[in-house]
Amino acid sequence: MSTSSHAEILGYLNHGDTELAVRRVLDYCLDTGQDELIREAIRLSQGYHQAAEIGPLPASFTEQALSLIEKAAGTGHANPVPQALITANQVAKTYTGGNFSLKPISFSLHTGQVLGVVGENGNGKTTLLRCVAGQLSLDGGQVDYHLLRKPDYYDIKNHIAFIPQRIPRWYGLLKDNLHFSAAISGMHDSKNDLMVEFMLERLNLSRFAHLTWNQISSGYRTRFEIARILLQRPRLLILDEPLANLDINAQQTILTDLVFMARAAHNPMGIILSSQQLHEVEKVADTVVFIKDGNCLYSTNDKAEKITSTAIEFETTADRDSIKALFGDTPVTMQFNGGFYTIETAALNGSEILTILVNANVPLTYYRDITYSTKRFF
Amino acid sequence: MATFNRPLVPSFLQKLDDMLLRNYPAIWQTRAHLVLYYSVLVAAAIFGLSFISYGNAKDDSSVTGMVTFTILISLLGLVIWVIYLLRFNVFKRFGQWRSTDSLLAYFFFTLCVAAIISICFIPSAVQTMRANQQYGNEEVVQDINEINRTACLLEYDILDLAWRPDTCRLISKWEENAVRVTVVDTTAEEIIKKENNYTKIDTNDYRRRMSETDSVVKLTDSLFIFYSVPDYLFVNSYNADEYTREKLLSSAQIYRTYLKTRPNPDRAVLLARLQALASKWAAPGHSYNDNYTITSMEENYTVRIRKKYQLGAADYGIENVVDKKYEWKNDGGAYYRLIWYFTLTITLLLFIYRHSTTRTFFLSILTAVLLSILTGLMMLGGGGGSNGESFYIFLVFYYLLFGVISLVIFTSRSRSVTQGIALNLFTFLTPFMPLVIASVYVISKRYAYLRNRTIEGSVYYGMPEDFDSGPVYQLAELAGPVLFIILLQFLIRKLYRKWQAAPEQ
Repeated sequence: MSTSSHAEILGYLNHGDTELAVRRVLDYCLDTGQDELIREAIRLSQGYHQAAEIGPLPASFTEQALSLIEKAAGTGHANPVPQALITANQVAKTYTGGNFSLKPISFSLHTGQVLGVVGENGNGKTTLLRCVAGQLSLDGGQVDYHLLRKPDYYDIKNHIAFIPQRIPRWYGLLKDNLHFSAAISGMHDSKNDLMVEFMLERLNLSRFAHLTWNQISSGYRTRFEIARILLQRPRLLILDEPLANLDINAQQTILTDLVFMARAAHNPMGIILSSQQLHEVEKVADTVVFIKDGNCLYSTNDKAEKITSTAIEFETTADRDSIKALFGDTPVTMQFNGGFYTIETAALNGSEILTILVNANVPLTYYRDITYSTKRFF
Repeated sequence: MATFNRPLVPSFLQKLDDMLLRNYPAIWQTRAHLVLYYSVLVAAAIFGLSFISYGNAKDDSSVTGMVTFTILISLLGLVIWVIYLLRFNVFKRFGQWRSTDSLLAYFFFTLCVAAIISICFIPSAVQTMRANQQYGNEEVVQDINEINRTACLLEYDILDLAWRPDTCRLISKWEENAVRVTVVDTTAEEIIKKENNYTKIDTNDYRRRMSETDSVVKLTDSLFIFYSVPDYLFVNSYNADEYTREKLLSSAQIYRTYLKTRPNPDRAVLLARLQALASKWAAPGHSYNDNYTITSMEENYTVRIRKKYQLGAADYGIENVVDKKYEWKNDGGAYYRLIWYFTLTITLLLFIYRHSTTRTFFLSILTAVLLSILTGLMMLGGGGGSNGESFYIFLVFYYLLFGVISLVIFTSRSRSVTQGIALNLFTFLTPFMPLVIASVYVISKRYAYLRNRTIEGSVYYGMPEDFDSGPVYQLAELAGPVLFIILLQFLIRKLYRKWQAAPEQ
């Protein structure tokens, strides 16, 4: 992390992306593994949040942040080397008495990587995640957990954290639950306090820590669950529809935070997440698999083999005929789903299509190249 | 920022809570520290209330009302705690649990349940404590003796001094038949036989009479006159002298010591002393007729003396004091067993719930009920045995069956409800199995004894005289928890760990 992260944080500070900078300073200091630096980072974050509530940040804030990242850089910690984490080989599942089958699916994941699983409801996303998490027995194939030697299921479940779509209710104070999770993960005494405080600050949850489950919104429940799970330092984090209860800003924040944490030296981990938010997932995932009727129809790893045409979608007030006319004899397939148009063609790339539309003064309110997106399969 | 404060929790307890949460999550999640603290608070309140309520040990015992009240309080506490435990069901979370955490959790569950249940026994304990505070053991016996002696001395003239004889013939069925054909050569026996006024007694009755009689005259080897002294006990209390050096004087002892020859007491002094003692022991609000006129309407000397000196009220007061003083000595064993078995059962259910899934837990209960019904039907059909031995053998069979099914968990690739149910029932039965086996053993001894007796030609129901089943059961009661702890640590914990973690179908 050292040099690039250092430069990254400086960039955020210089451009005024202070909140992001603070979050990254926390990550940066956590990676050093030095409690005093982590404490300083927590104080910095707390100071930032307090000051942000009152008004503009004091001039000394940036200096403090810079001083802290200089200290952290001085520890000389290095970026983690990605390790093979999990390999799912022809994983298949058929429910007893049910009419649904998950057909054989294979993928592999390293630490620091994110795998997105997308597809319509009821097509097998959750089944796949639960199979990988060791919650469902497999009817075919196997899952290898490379960091575990001859594991039993308890080891596997201790190694993996699974956050279901419907998070089980917490009882008692939120903070107590976090301390408890830290304690059963081997963090005791002051380390326990430090890590809980860190996680609360990192996910910007400190002001809710003394509340109970009923007193927070569903979005914050998801964030608290993520905080709790992260305290248990899993090597593989599996999230089933984590974005469902989050607003658009929170979705972005959580996804980027998860990616940062997955790649952190502190506890490098792999992430598998399912979501309906295709674009958000595709933005952060190294690999996206699309599942339909239990079959893996497409993986972004296979894009070179499977994608032979360009696909774009756009929204306009122009009528269909005038748009069709713009492409003349070029072979294009155009569809209108009532909201926006989709054009597929092997003759043009995304930029060329956009040029045609702009040159023709087509009033565009939305445009996206979905050539390599799973969106084109929906 | 909103904060949550538990009522009546001092800072030291909050610090303890924080420390346990951060360092000993297995203990913290049992909430034992809070349960014990609140139990102590409630116990102190119940103690205070009982201490005030049971000011006079001579009063009728009003402990039932207080016990009912404390049972409700305990039940409330238990329900609150259990609801909390069942809701905050974090014990199944995967983490770096220590190998002794299950054992530790079980120990603290036991401690909590025992603390909550024990509260119900505080009123009774305080009542005993108060009675012991107010009256000494020796004091009660001395006063009873003095009252009886003094009353006899004061009322010597109206006492019945004639001993009652009862002539008895020791006889068995074999002997009875023999008597009919045997010429009786003892004159005394001949006379008595002619008059037919003796009581036939068997060996057991003979032994009892010999131990209880005030005097006996042996006429022949099988003919006795048992004498009983008239009643000179105007106040008395069963077992009052069980734990004292000085013993209660019997009517015979009073007669022999004080009434054999006409006494010549200082009546004024004795009267004053008797009145003082009667007043000292009189139960408040108790009238003379309360417990005497029911059995005797005639004005015999006993009734007259009790009436004259108000000894009925004193007798009632003494009875109440003695009952209260020795309640825990006499019934303590039963109370401790009540606490222990309630605690054991509730703790086991809690422990199983915490280690199982909600569905499997309730299915286990359903299975237990169905098996009980099925076993009952089978016993009805096949005969349960006069000592219920079939029931115990069924229990042993079920236990072994559950054990075998549970062991399959080690090799199972997925989590099955059947295995979960078997494991739950195996866990529940474990601490009771030594008792079950002890019962089977005692029954087998009884049958072996019966067989021997039958060979000898005499039908006899009971245990061999040299065999005491008490120690066998006591050993089994101790072996139960020991067996459970060993299996919990080395088998049950691992089985639950494996079962919990296994994937579902």
